[in-house]
Formats: sequence, structure tokens, C-alpha cells
Amino acid sequence: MRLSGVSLALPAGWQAAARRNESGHVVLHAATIALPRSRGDFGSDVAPLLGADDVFCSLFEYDRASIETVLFSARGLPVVRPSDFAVGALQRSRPGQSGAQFFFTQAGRPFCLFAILGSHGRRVAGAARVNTLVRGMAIA
Amino acid sequence: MTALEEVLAPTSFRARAIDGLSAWLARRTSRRGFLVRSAVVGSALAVDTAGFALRPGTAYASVCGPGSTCGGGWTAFCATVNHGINTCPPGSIAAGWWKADGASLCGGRARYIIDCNATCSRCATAGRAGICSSGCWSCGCHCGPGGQCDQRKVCCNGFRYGQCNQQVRQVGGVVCRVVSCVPPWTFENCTKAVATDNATRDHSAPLLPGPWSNIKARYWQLGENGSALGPSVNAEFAVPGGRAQRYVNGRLSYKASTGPRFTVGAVAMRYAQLGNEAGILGFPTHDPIVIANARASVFEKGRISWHPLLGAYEVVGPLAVTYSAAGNELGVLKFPTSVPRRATDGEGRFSTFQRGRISWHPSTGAFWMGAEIAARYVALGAEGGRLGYPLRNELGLTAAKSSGFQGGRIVWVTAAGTFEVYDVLDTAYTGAGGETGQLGLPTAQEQTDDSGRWQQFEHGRITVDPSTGQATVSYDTQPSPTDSPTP
Repeated sequence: MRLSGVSLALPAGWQAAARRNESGHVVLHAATIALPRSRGDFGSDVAPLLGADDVFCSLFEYDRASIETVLFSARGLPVVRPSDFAVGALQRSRPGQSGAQFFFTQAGRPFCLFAILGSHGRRVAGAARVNTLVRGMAIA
Repeated sequence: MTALEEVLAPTSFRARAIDGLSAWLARRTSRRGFLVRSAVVGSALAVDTAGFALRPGTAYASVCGPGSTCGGGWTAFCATVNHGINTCPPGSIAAGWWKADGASLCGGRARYIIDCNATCSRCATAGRAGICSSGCWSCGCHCGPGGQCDQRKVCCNGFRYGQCNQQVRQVGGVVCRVVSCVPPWTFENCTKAVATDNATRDHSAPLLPGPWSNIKARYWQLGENGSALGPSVNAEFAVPGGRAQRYVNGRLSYKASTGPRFTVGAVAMRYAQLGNEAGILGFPTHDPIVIANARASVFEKGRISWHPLLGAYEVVGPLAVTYSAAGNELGVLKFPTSVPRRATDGEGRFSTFQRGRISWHPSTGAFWMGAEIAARYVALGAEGGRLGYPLRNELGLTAAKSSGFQGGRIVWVTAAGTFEVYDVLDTAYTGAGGETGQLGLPTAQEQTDDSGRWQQFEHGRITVDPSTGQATVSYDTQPSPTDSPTP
């Protein structure tokens, strides 16, 4: 999958969809379930569908000018740790689920990587699955 | 009748249904509970009349939209937790936003939702950018307040949309959400990077303005939170003859004959003190008028003028009509310096201005006089003095000004001073043509000696015979015209 300088080598067992939004920015969604048509940019419509072993990720791009700000001072795609996930770290909190959010700049473009785990109790495996996905991402 | 008109029409099915159901609730609840519930019922009917009429148990859902319980996982609205004010409460900052397309609450336009996140005030922050650990947040997680339907979470969700205040490395959880029909970058420190989540399109709360209306449309035109009115306070509500909506810095009032008109700042504060739409001024008929660094608002029955050095004062009824005829703030009188006051006789009223005064009595009407004559009038007892009430507006002459009263006149002569001409002397002066007649202007106050009362003018004298009370005009020399009215 490739769109506007963002490419993704999709791991087995994942589905993905990408689009350019009204701002001309890339919004990439990937999940271990079939992606519903309506998802919300940070997956509010996907989260209720996740099973305990499932994962959803959103790669969301911001305005280029934002790379100058402290929020996007981290460089490069993140390596996700199980401890990065928190039960309340969700736009819409759901029992048992957890999320993790990473703001960063790659190739002069500011992004947020947001991941939702179907079960916080299985965050070790979930974080590993997210990292597998992220390793397949490239931003030019 | 359009759908919008039907919503607003006071005798519509909605209005009747609201009245009936509110009355039904009133019989079954306390007064406080009734007020809250009737507001919910009204909003529910306005949003979804048929649905709620058939299923009244869904009132809360109709007003607050889907996912309004604490367990629903969403965050509550700031209006719910911030005294009805649709803005980030103290201790929180805008941290990101998204839009929901095609929102009926925004007249079919996009509806923007802004997350207000807590600050990380309880400990030093470290680690990855974005969200600090929950122990550092300036607030604790809880559900929306009881007694209303926006039971969504408060300060629970550690999520950052990321378009706002990007200079802040870390923020806490989402305290509450602000809604807007104009883009957030117009009133918050946010970028334009668009995020979309249509699942939140119909999320709302009882203390948010509610369904699209004439008032909401006007507020949208003005720029909503970024306008001079600022954020909304509580929901739109009915007033006698129309509807109104409060804002932090003012008010929008709607009546079919006036349309939606706003009042703002000190003028709005004074309007509120006077009872708003139900008070002596009625509804505003225009939006505020900007006069340099001052403001004025026009109402059905008067006007409020505000000057930064003077304050806000109303001019009402016949006083306002005369003030308008004199040019209002830009006319000779300039800005009002007092509220209308009752004259000493208890019958008349007067207003004072930077450059004069208007006095009114029901039997004479309202007339203005400029500063010089007004100062002398006040020194002589004003409406309660010998001169009584004015009978005409001040007359401007090339070298003088003149005002006529029940008991005489005051003439202000440039470089000479102010002179009164009383009763029979005034009658004779008028008969001789007054200031523009052959006598010319008065040059002294009335005198009294053995020969009686007399007053000297530029070209003659008026004398009152003490035995008959009759006034006689005598000229010094062959008279010639001395003055003429200014155009």
C-alpha cells in the first residue's frame, strides 16, 4: 500500500485503508479485523468491534508547520512498548481496552500513531503486533 | 411554513407539546426538578418531536444524543461542567479537534468538537510527548453531574487529538468538549489539520444552545466563540414575544419583526439590569453601532449608549426620540451621562448628556438644550425652577443659542454669558421677534427699580409697568436686524 509518500507492507492478518483527507494529509488505518466503512479518524467506530486479541492503528498526518513544535519533536516512527499502553488512553474509553499515542516527525512530516488494544491484559502481545505493523511502514 | 419556522412558531405543535408535557411534569416534581426536566423535554421535542412524543422516556437521549452515559466512554461537554459556558474551563487547554459532517445542530454544516485537556500541574512531566501520566493531571476522573443527561466522563480519557497548543509538550486527560459550528482555529490556538469522526455528530447536552435556529444562524455569522459575544452560556430559551440566548459577553435576542440582534459588553450588562427583552427597552432592533471606541444599541423603546470614560446609560421613550432627532451620540448632545431620572415634580423625566440635557413632561413633550443653557437651567432649579419644562429644542443662532420654557427663555450669548428672560418680558420679547427681532439679544439680566422691572437688549429695552403689569418695548435707535437663525 502506498499513498502520498506513506507506504505500508501489510503483515499477515491485517487489513488496511488509507486516504488523503480534506487537508491533503494521509490518514492510514490498519486493524486485525475487517475495517468498517465508517471508522472515525482515530477509530471510535472500530474500537467496539475489537476482540481481545485485536489491534487497531491509525497513522494521522498534521500540517507541515507543526514539525517546529515541541509536540512533534520526537524523530522517527516509534517502537512501541507494552508499558506505553494505558486503559484510559483512548478517545472513547471502553472496558478492557487500552491505547497508546505517539507524536513524531518523519521525513519532515508530522504524524500521530495511535494504537488501540482489544485487551489491555494482552498488551505484551498487542504491542508486538503494533511493532510488526510499524516496521512495515515507511514515510518519505 | 418551513421546518425552521415551525420550530420557532410559538403556537406550533412543538410549542403545544412542550407546554403540555412540562405542565404534566410540574405536577409530579419539585420546582428545581421541574425546571431541569422541562428544559430537557423542550429540547427533546425541538430535536425529535415525533420520536419524543411517542416515546417520552427517550427525552434525555434526544437531547444528549448517543453515548451519553458515563459507561459510554465519551467525554462530557464543557457546558455541562463549566457553569453552562461552552469553553475550556480553568485548568484546561484546547488540545485538539475534529469535525462531524452534515450536522443538523449546525444547520447541515460541519460541527466541530474541541477537546479541552487538563494541564499536567501535579508533577513534573517527562517521557514521550503528548499525554502526561494520569497522576499528574490537574483533575480526577468522574462522571457528569447528576440531574441531567450528559453523564459522559470528565477528565478520564487520556487522549490528544493534537492540533491545538502544540507548543505544550504534554497535557492531561480530556476534561470536556467544546462544540462549534465555525472552525476551531478561528478562536483557539489550533491548526487546520482536519480530523473527522461522524459518530459524534449528534452528541449534545442540555446546557448547549440546542437545535439550529435564527439565533444560532446569526451567532454562526458572527463567528461564534471568536465573536465579540464569546462562548454561549446555557441553552437558547423563550422570552415573551421571542427567544434569547446568553453569551459570556452579551446576548442575542430574536423576534419575528426584528430578526436576531445582539447586544454586547457594557451595553448588554445594562440591558440585563433593565430586564432585557421584557424590560422597558424591549427587543434590540439593530446590532451594536460602533462609534470610534464607544458603542450604542438601538431597541424598540430606546437606546443604550456606552462610552469607555462614562459608562452605559439608556435613553428611553420620548427622550430617545428627541435624542435621535438631535443626532444621538454624534449630535450636539454627545453621550448620555446618566440614566433617565424623575424630575422633582414626579411627573417629568430628564436625561443628561456630555453636552446638554433632554427634559420631558407628558403635557409638553421632550426637548433638548445644549451644555451652556443646560448648566444655567440646572442652576436655576431645572424642571422644578421658575422656568419649568422646555417648550422647544434649543435654537442655534450665529452668535447665540436660545431655549424656550414654560416660564420664559434662556439665551446664551457668545462671549457675553447666559441671560434669562421671564414671563411677561419673554412674551414681549417674543412679540418683538425674539433673538432675531429688532431688539437683538439680551445684554443683561432682568433689573428691578422704582420704575418697575426692565431688561436691556442690544437695541432696546423691555419695561414692565408695575401698576398694570404690561410690558413695553422701546428701541434705542432706528432698529436694524442683528442676527438670524443658523441653517
